[in-house]
Amino acid sequence: MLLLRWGLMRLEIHFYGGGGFAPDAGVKISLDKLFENYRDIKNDGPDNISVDGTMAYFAALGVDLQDASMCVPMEIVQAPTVGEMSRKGFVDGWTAIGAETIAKQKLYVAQQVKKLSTDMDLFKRVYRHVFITAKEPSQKAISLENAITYWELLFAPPGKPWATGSTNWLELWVEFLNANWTKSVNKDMWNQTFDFSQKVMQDETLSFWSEDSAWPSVIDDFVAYAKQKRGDVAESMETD
Amino acid sequence: MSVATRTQVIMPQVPNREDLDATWKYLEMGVAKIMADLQDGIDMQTYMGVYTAVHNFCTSQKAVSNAMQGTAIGGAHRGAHLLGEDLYQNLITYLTAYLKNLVQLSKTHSDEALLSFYIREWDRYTTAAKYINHLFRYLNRHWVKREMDEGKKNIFDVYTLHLVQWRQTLFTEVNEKVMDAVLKMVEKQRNGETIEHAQIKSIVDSFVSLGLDESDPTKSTLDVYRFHFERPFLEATKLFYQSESKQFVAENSIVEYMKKAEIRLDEEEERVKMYLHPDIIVPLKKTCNAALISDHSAILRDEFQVLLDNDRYDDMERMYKLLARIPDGLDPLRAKFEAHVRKAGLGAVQKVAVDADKLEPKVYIDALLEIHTQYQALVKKAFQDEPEFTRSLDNACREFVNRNPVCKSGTNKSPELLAKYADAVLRKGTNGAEESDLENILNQIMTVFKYIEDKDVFQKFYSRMLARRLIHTTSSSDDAETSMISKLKEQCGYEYTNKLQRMFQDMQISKDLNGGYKEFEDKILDSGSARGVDATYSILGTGFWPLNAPNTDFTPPAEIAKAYERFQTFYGQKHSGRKLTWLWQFCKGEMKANYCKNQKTPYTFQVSTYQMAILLLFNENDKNSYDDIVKATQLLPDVLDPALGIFVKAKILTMSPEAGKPESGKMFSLNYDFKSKKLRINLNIAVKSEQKQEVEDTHKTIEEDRKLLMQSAIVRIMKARKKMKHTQLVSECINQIRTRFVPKIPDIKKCIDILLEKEYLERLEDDELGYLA
Repeated sequence: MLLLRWGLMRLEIHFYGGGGFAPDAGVKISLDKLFENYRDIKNDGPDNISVDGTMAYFAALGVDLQDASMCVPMEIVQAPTVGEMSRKGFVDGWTAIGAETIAKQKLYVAQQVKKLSTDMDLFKRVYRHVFITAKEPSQKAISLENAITYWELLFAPPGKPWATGSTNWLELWVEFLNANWTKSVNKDMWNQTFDFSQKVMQDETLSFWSEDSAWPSVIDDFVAYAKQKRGDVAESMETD
Repeated sequence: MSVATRTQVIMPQVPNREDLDATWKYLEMGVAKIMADLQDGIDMQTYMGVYTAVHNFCTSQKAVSNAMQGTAIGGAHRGAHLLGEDLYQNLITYLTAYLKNLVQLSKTHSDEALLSFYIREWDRYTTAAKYINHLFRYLNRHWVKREMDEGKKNIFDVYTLHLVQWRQTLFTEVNEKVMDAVLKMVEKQRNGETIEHAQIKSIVDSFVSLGLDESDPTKSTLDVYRFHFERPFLEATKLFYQSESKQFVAENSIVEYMKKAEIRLDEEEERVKMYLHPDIIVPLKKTCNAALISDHSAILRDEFQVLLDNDRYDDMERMYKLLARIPDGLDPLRAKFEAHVRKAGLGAVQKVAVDADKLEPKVYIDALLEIHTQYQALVKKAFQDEPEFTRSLDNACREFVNRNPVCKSGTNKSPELLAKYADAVLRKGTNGAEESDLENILNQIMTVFKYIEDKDVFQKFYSRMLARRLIHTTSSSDDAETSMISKLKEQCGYEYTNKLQRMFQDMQISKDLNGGYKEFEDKILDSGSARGVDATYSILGTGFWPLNAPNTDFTPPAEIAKAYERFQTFYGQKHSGRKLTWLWQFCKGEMKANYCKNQKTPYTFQVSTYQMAILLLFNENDKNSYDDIVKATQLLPDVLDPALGIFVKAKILTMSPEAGKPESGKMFSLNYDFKSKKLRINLNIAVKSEQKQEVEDTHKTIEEDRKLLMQSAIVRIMKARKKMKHTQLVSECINQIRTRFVPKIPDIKKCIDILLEKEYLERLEDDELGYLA
């Protein structure tokens, strides 16, 4: 009991003080043990947990596998691909946070999931990591189909929906890609899509965009598409 | 005409040196005599007398100035020099009285008589002043110098004192009237009357002389002249020309007005030389330009379009010269000129572009050149080759060369047609141009080339056609070819023409190689078999020639196979490890037709290798089915069908059944009754659809090349800079590539996307890109 309170205090300090003291060796040992709990000794490698173990672990964290919340722990443990965890990612990730028990981790993840739609740095971190888990290790890009699945997952609660008063941007984006985009989605396109979505949320008139700006061509084309689509809408709004 | 006051003065004896009153009286008399009768000369005695009297006056011990008595007790140490002031003041009093008298006399004169009076009195006065200055040298040297050294204001040497007095007493009274008279005279002259302009010159000189620098009496300034002469003169000039030009414009044409203005401006310049002070030249020009040109610039410019439309070179030159005189006068002309040339260019293109697909390159290029030549001549004749006008011409030409009705689909039609025109010029026997003519035409091609934006398109087409000329030896002159390449090199640099030059070299090397091969072949053939075919070979470096490997399988006939295998052996010995790819589609040959009835001398057929392979089959059988031919030659229908088509059309082969195209199931038989008026028959004819295909292919490769060019430019820039803002990178990239073509921003961005994906580049914060080695 005493131990737990001490741990919680550390957790608080970490949150509000911004960290800054060396992680305790004891924490690491606890995390190693926790990692072993979920590792299938027969089938998994010495430093890996595969699908079954990961699912069990996520279930213990109380994470919903149907929405963006599952991306939060994946980012924390730097999961190399969907449904897998490495010992190093697991131990380092949780050590940095200072949560070495399931209870603490569950609490932390729940807090993070709650903040996902408001803390844009957090959302960006989670979003970017999804690309890494989504692609095959040997590939540099993910299929459009896959990308759309993840966009639909991320841009929906508990993530931040990509929509403004006048437009459901996610819907428009997917519609545009399905009609015009035949290639896969590379890392640049993935990351730039997030930056673009943030800009759009701040300014749905797209006035921040110019032909000279650094957006990838696909986004330039999308802007043209969106402007054309919304052309009528914008005009009728003015006459109102 | 002598004046009442100036009666003959008889000089008395020099008075006693102690008697100051008498001395001054004596001096005054002497001064008056000089003023009045200088032209009669002055005798030595008087001269010496006055000089001595001045000396005496200044050095008199006893004399004490009345004026100084009260204040100068402490000044006794100044001794004799005290007395100078009395003399100086007496002189001023005398001069003032003298000049006041003149002012009175001047009132009886006006206009030219006043000028005469002024000049006469001025001359008399200033000449006298010089003498008096001499006579009063003692005063100058001692009292005046001392006063000046002590920094006293308004003390002058005796001569300057005269001028100061003239200015104070007379000039202030009469200068306006004098100036009125001057201006009246000038107006008379402007209206065509003859005047005595030497008078005005004298007035100018007088006014200039009166400009004394207050702070340094030894210097003169133009202040008096500028204020009393130049200012009213310019004002009168302005008014005169304003009213004259207004009236003239109302009653005459603009062209007449320009002639008038030109004459007026010349006249005014002449006027300065004749009798005005050179100082006036700049402001006078400015005044005239304002009244004669600036005030009417709007209607002049309106007229410019009329002159352009009617090719009025002389009048345009006149207008150019007039408007060149005023600030920013020419800018509107340049803009009008540029628009006019562009319109003329578009009009010329429109005329020939009725059917863009069938447009003859020569007709098109001639249309472009005609406009350029015409307006270049205009720039030279009317606008003195002024660089800004040349620039306007260039802008206009660049516009209508790259964007006109023929180039509707894009800017690459012009370079394509230009390259085709160059090909026609350089090809043998097409128009039989003389050597010197040829050089002229090449220069004309370069004139158009200069304006082409898509120089890479020209390069592509040009190299393809050069390749064709070289391998078919249809070039009319090696000198002309080299000359053209060096012209291109001069404009676009080594890289642009590198491949063209290499192609040339390859042909040269091939010539030598063929010599060597002949010897090699002779040695082999000594030991047996006949040569069979007489062949020449060209070895073309893969990277330099814009030629692709054949797009069809082909089994060469045995006769040819033997020959080329022999060559391959020879080449393999010379250069081991090099791979030879045979470009069958460019090979050709001649065949003798010995089978024809009714023909003693055999016909010679000029054929492609493919055609040769087909015809050789008829050595064995008189009839061959389509499928037999396919089987024997392995040719694809794309190549085979047109080749057969030509034979059928030329009636060398007959096809049965006759109707339809060559295809599977048809039978071909040799026509023994073949007849032709010519002995040599060219059957190696390119088919229209093939040519069109080639143009399309060329355009496609251009797109590919552009992507590579942009990507390599981006990588080159990023390699040097490591980090760069996106917008900067884009504009730098445009700069580097502009000499080849004008890249579009979205295309550059696509290339950046590709490089990001390939991880040559990475995205950094704040729209920056980084280079990944």
